[in-house]
Amino acid sequence: MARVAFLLLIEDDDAVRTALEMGLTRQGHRVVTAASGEDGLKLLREQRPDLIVLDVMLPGIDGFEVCRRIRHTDQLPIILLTARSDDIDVVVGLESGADDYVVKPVQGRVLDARIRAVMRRGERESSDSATFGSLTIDRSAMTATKNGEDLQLTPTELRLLLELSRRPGQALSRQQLLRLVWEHDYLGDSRLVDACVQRLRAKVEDVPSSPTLIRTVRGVGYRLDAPQ
Amino acid sequence: MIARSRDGDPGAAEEESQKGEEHRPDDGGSTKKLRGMRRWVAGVLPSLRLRLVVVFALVALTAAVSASGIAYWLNRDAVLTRAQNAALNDFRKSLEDNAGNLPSEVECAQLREAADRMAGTTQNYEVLVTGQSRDRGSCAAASSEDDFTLAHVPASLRKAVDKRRTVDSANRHPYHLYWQRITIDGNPFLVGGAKVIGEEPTPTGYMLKSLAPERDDLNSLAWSLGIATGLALLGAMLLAQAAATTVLRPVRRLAQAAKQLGEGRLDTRLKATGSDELAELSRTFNRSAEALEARVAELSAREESSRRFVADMSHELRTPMTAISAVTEVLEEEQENLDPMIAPAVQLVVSETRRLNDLVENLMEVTRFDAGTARLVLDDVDVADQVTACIDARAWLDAVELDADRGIMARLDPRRLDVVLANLIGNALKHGGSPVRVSVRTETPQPGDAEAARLVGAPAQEPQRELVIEVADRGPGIPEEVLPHVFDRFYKASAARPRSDGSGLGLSIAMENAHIHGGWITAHNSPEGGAVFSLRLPRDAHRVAGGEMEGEADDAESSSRRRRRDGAESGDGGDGE
Repeated sequence: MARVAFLLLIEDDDAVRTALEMGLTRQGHRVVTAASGEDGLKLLREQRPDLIVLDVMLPGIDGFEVCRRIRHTDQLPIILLTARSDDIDVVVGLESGADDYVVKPVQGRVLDARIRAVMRRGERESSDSATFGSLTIDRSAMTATKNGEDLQLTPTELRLLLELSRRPGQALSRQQLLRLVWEHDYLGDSRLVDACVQRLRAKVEDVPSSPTLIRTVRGVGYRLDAPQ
Repeated sequence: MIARSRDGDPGAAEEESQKGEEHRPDDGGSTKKLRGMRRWVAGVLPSLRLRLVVVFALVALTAAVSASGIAYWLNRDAVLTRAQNAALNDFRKSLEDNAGNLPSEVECAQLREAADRMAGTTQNYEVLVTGQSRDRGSCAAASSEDDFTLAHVPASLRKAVDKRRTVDSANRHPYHLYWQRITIDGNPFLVGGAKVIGEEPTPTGYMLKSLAPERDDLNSLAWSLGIATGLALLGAMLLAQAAATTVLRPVRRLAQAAKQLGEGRLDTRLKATGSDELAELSRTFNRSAEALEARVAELSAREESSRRFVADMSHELRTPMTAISAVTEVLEEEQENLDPMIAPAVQLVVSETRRLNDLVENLMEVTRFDAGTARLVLDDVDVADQVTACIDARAWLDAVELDADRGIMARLDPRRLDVVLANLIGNALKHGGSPVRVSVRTETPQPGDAEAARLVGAPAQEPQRELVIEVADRGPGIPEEVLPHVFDRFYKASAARPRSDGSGLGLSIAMENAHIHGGWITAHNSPEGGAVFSLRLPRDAHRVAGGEMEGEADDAESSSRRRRRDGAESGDGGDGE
């Protein structure tokens, strides 16, 4: 059983904030709330939560900007509250560094499942390590290093790298990765995988636009290879 | 009869009405004839230009021919009369001068001499004189025996000349001068004759004057008149041509403008200059086009605003729905601990909240399709897995017979496929009852399938095998009259097929989702009974719908994302081989 997660909920609508806080607290999480992005960033520095649930539509600085600012300093998981009608929101949100998203109207159970899945990503499981060229993944320490330097990876990025490294040279479909990393069902949004792979490449590849480690397998998905 | 019918004799009234009816076919016949004529004219003279030219030509021809005709006849009369009078007067005078003093019984030689003298005038005619000779009875002497004999003088004229009339106050002379126009060997001549008045028997003189010079004059006049008529006709036709051009140019412009208007270019306007009927027509056209444009703009603005209203409304509903949903879950979990009086109420709130949630979701989905903002999120999936997962997720495994081989891969939007499948299978379960048969196969699209070509939009492309998913139920089927409407929004069929989910949007959304993939759904009744819904999708929606959707780079973020993604993929393609 995962430890009690300490969540920061940033949501401007009072009713939604209250209702979600109530639901999440009942699910056993510890919740602090903020009504704006500025307050949220302040609370993040003061309280150091494990995870952030972030509404996209915020007065002042919007959810994307909050997300970007957090990513400058922190690698903690971020779950966006978004609307499916705003497909662009999802894409922009994932590009600005969110780990997952939940579509409004949010079902508390779904949000809880996502939170738990994100929290599980940081858990260590085995105690070996693997090396792919200059990239070394230490599964016991849950770290990845490139040329000996620690990489700043979010739990999701790290989990994606771990799942890929567990099956070197084998292509994994986006749906498989969604199940393994995000614990999504068969309807997972493949853009989550694509966005995360982009972020991961930006951190681990020498030239992110021509990757040598994490490669796209057309019509299937992605695979991790040691560079030839 | 009128009196009788006033008396109220129904028979008479009936007779009247029958008579009236008898008349009608006649009227119809005449209008029909008129219409037939108009049609005939339209058939023979198909263009307005031709009709104008013909009418102008006819008018010019009539005017010119009548004018020339009148001029010709007047001239002819004048010329002939003048020549005739001059010759006859001269002849009369000459006859008096030369034959008046001849004795009653003369020698033939004397007559010939008189005839020669008479012919010697300026009028240039031949003369024949007859008289009673002393020795040989009657004698005829001509100035030119070959050209003029008594045989040339018509008998009627001779008779008239010889006829003696009674002398009274109205008629002072017993004999008169008579003349006649005759033709000898195709040449016109004037022949005249008179008897010398005196003691009988007196000689009779005849003259023969050629009218050939007059005829030649008249012929040349006729020729000039004919040429003038021809020129007038030509001029009229040219004028008609010019008139037709000036009239028809605006008409053609009008036709062009009307065509453009019909094609939907409502801002089409004509330049209206002048104050003639055509300018007025152009102005009328402009006013109509303006009114039409305003009306269409108003209607589309109204539709746009109502659509935006629905979109905004469903958007606005989402925030409170989020709060309510989150709370209802809390309520649901606490249900067992609640007062048994309150628990059913809570249950109702929970279930209705869920329905409201679905309705809002569906509404938003529909507004996205209407606004054209729906996007595909494509992925390569195993179709059988997707179908199984869809059935499994809704706990329908026991009610559905699945006939699907694993390994059929397709590039599509899994979420949208799930929406379609859930709607079709849910619908079949609701109305047809279990078991519902779901089969998955691939087919080569029939080349004759026009709808397939239209929707797939690429008949020239190599035929791509398409994915066919059939959902068949064992129910009563769909009534024929409902069949064309099953995909309509909020279409309520008969009570036998109620919309128990209450949204009324499910099949419509399913259809929209199929369309956005470049596929479609058909519904029909199976011969064995039960309704069959067939979903047809291209194996690679990207090639059909995705390609064009990604073409709409309507915002910077998505295009930058695409660029990055494309770059990454092309880079991969390079190192993959």
